[in-house]
This record gives sequence, structure tokens and C-alpha cells, in this order.
Amino acid sequence: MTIELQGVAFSYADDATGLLLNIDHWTIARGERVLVHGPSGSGKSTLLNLMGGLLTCSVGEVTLLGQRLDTMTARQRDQFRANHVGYVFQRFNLVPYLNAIENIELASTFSAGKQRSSVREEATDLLHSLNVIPSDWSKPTSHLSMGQQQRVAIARALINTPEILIADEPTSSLDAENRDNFLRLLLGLVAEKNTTLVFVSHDLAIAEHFTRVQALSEFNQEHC
Amino acid sequence: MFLTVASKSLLNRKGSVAMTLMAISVAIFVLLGIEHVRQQARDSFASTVSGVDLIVGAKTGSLNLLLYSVFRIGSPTDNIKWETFEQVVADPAVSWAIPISLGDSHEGYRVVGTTSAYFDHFSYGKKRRIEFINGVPFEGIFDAVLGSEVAKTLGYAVNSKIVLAHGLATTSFSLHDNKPFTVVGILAPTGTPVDQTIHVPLQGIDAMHSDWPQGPSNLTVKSRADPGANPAKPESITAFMLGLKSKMSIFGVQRQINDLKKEPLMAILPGVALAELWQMVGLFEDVLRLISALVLLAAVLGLGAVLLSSVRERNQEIHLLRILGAPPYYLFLLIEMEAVLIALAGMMIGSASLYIALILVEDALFANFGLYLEADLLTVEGLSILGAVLLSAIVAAAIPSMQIYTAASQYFERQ
Repeated sequence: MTIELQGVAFSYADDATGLLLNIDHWTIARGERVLVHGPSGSGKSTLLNLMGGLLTCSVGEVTLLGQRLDTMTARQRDQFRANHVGYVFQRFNLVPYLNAIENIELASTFSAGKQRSSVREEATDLLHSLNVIPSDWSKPTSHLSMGQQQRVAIARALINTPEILIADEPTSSLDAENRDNFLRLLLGLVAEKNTTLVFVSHDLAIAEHFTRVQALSEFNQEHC
Repeated sequence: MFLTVASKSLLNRKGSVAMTLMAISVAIFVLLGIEHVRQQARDSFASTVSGVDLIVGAKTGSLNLLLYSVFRIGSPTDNIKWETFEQVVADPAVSWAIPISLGDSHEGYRVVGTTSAYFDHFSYGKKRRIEFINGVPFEGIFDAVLGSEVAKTLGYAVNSKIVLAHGLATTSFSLHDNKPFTVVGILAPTGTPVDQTIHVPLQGIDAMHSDWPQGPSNLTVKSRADPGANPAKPESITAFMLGLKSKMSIFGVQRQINDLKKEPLMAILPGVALAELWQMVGLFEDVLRLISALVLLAAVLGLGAVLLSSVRERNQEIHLLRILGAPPYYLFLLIEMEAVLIALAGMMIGSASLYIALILVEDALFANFGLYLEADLLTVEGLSILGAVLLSAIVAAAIPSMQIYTAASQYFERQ
């Protein structure tokens, strides 16, 4: 299993309403493309943060690629995330004052074992395949359109060839045309690299692109 | 990459960063400038007199003797009889002697009666001799040689006639106006009290004070080598400077002079007395240093404040960098690096502008105040000041850095 959650219980320290996540058992196999949907505030983002080691659960086991995240130190989780997990968010995916290439290079500096010279080459390959025109590569990313920024974000997330790509409502700020364009490019690259994709959205219109579609409530017994 | 992020992040916040940079630059300008002037002042102070082994005057404090004989400040307590002077100078250990006679002035500038030995032996700085830019040393009794500042301020040239007054005020009532002196020489600037001095022969002073009706202006000054032939031997002098044949005999000669039964005299070593005097001025130095330290403190506090307020605007960056796998200390170092970059840029701007300023004012300062500033900032003190600036910038940035570290560690725990 690429991702395995076992007996996970989580609530924020300042939240007294009970458990936000209570997942008995949930797994994702290698190469699966999973769409998780659910209303806002239901814990989707928290789930993604647990899966990337940004948050740790007090109870339960989170295993990625056969490694227990919940027993790692904070530094180990950061290193693991840099090496194995890519993230794309709804917005703020890029450092606004750096250009596309620098954003991608920045992402690669935290991951181990990649030649600096090959990074630039791979970055330009990725940008080419994501239809970002070269004249936009050296502009500060704050000068790019939302659609362009999200495509640079895919390149940024995939530069370290992570086994797992986590996407948190990445299309919610895009219009229909940009959204379809974004999904086509993302899913194309994911399939090419056999990346496991966990995609969170409230938009079920895109469900056809995924191998599995699940509502969070199907595997989260909240407030138990 | 780390440097790119830090520098581009700064460029992204041009306004506040530029203001902070300016504050740091000004602080560095002030710090280095004060240190530089302080050091140069000390050097030029210590170089007021050199090559003189002993200064001899009537018994008084050593500082007082130094002040009136070298700096022309204050007044002598008593005179020295010419016979005593001759007796001391007759010592075989003595190589040369410069007698000086004080007490007269011209337009507020002190008049020093002396002999031509003054121009031959008196030196300043690193054994630099006095040089003439115009004219020659005095020969006639009513000849005068002017310090550069006297000539410049009063607009005198060679052959100008000047009238000396007894006492020191410009409005002195006892003008010796029946005995005008003729300017025969003008000295090059030295950056020492010599520049503010009017030099006349000892006999000129005596002649001026005597009832000599018109003064035998054809009289010439005889050198010490031939004192017997001197028709107008002065009665007394105020002090004298001695050069000895061997440095080894300094303390012996000093003791002899101090023990002289005939007249209560004292001999001082100019270097020792200068060091004593500088210690008294040292308090002023400390005040200057304190002020510049406070300027630096204000500047680095400003730096800290700007970085601190930037932390609040950087949630996006914290989020993003954490997602990418950056540990919280990366953000800590990022803020510190920004502080270091600002400090380094401030150092460059501050020292470059000081350097330019020094080059621009160098000539004017030397010409007007006799203060010689070398535009040499790469001294040990200068570098240690820059080191201290860097260190204080790092310390000031520690608070915002700690804050972003904490924010980064807890970022995902409160959503």
C-alpha cells in the first residue's frame, strides 16, 4: 500500500467539539487516483496534512510507502515530505517574488539526491509539457495568471518525482476552461510517472477523471 | 538558492527595506567617521612635537609646561635666566637647543621668540621638519616668520609689516607699534600649533620691550655657537627644548635639570606628557563612542522592527516552505540572512560614502583646521566596528527570527 491509515484519531488542540477525524482503516494503492469530496469544514485538508506529515495524530498509524510517519521526528517528516510527497493547493502555491524556474528549483533544494544541473533541465521539460511559454519562466510568478500559476505549481510539485501527489482543491480558483486544461495536464503527467494522486474537491463534475471517488464521510466516523 | 530567496524577498519589500538600509548606512557612516576622526585626532595630537627629547621650563605641572610650550595654551609661571639656559646647553650630552620666549601676540596669534635652531631642529609628525613655502628663516631682529594659518587668515605675505602687542588679547592696549616687524618667511601647513604661531628672534622680543627708540634694525641674530659675540643677549626665556646626542642620556639630563640649585627648573619628556594629556581628553572620546553606539542601537532596533512586521505578512511563505519540506530553522535562517544582507549592504554604502566624504573634505580640513585625515578606513578598529555591526544586526534579527520559527513549527496545528 502506498498510503495506509490505521485507527487514526485527530482533533485540534483548541477545538472542543470532539474528534475531527476518526478513521478506522483507509488505504490507497500505488497508482490510484482518488477523489475525496465532502462539505467544507469536514476535515479534508486536515486529512491531507496528516498524510504529508504536516500534522501528527495522537492516536493511530499513518504509513506512507511502508514508513510510519507518526513515529518519525519532525525533521524526518520534513525530509520525507520533501522527497516523496508533492502538494498543490487552491492558491499560494508559489513564492510570489521568485520566478517559475526559481520556484521549481527551491522545491528541489529540500529534497535529497538530485543533481542541481539536471533540476533546471527537468524544470524546463515540465514547464514545456505544461504549456507554460518560455517568456513566462523568468517573470515573478505574481505576474502570471491564475491558470498559469496553477500549471507552474504542478511542475513545482512534481520536480522531485514524488510517489504521492496531494491536491487540495487546486481547481477551485479556475474557470471551467482553465480547470479542464489543468486536470488534463495534471492527470497526464501523473499517469506518465505512475504517481499516486489524492485529490480533494467539492466539485463532483470532475469525478470521471479518477479511479476512485469517495466521500470523506464514507471512511471517517466523526464525532464518535 | 537560499541567498536568492533572501535577496529577492528583500527586493520585494523595497520601501521598508530601503529605509532600514539607509538607517544602517547612516549609523555605519557615523560610527566609522567618529572612530576615524578620533584616531586621526589622536595621531595628529601625538605628532604635535617629535624629535624633542626634553622640554624645560620653570617648575610647574608637567601638563602646564607642555601646554604652554607646545600648544601655546595657558601661561608660563616663571622665566628662565639666559645664563641658566647657557649652562644647561653647555652639557656635552646636549646636541641642540631651541629657546622659546612667549608672552606677546598679534591679532590673537601667539608670538614666539626663538632662534634659527627652531627651523633646523623642531619637527612634528614622523620627524617631519618645518618647511617654508615662501621666504627664508629670520635674520634681522625685526624679521618674523609666520605659521601658515596666520598668513592665510590675516592675509600676510612676505614683506608685510606687522605690529606686535604685549599680552594676548587682540585689543591689547600695549601695542609695540613703534617696532613693526617684517615678514620674511611663511611656513608650510603642519597641522600643529606651529601653524598659528608668529616666530620672531629672541632679540626682537627684547628689543621690542626695551626702550630702544627705533631699534638697530641692522642687527642680526647670532647663532648659539657664538653667544659671546651677541650684542643683544636676551635676559630670560620662557622655556626651551633639548635634543640630546644619545637617547640613553635623557633621564640623566632630566635629573640634572630637575636638581639644578641655581633656579627651580623642570624637564619633561614630551611623549609622556602628551600621553598624560590625552588621557584627560579620553573622557570626550568615550562620550563620542557612546553616542555612535547609540546611533547603531537605534538603527538595528529599526532593522528588528521592520523584520518583525514582515513576519506577519509572510504566512504564505511559511505555509509554502513547510509544504516543500523546509524545516522551521530554514525560516529562522532566512530572516537572519535578510538581516545580514541589509547589514552588509549598509556597510558598503556607509563606508563608501564616508570614503567619498573624506576625500572631498580632506583638503578643506587640512587647509582650514590643519586636521589631516587619511582616507584609510581599513584599520583594525574599522574592521572590528563592522564586525560589531554585523553581530548586532544578527542579534536584533533574533527576535523576528524566533517568531517566524515558532510560527513555522506550529503553522498546521491551528487551522
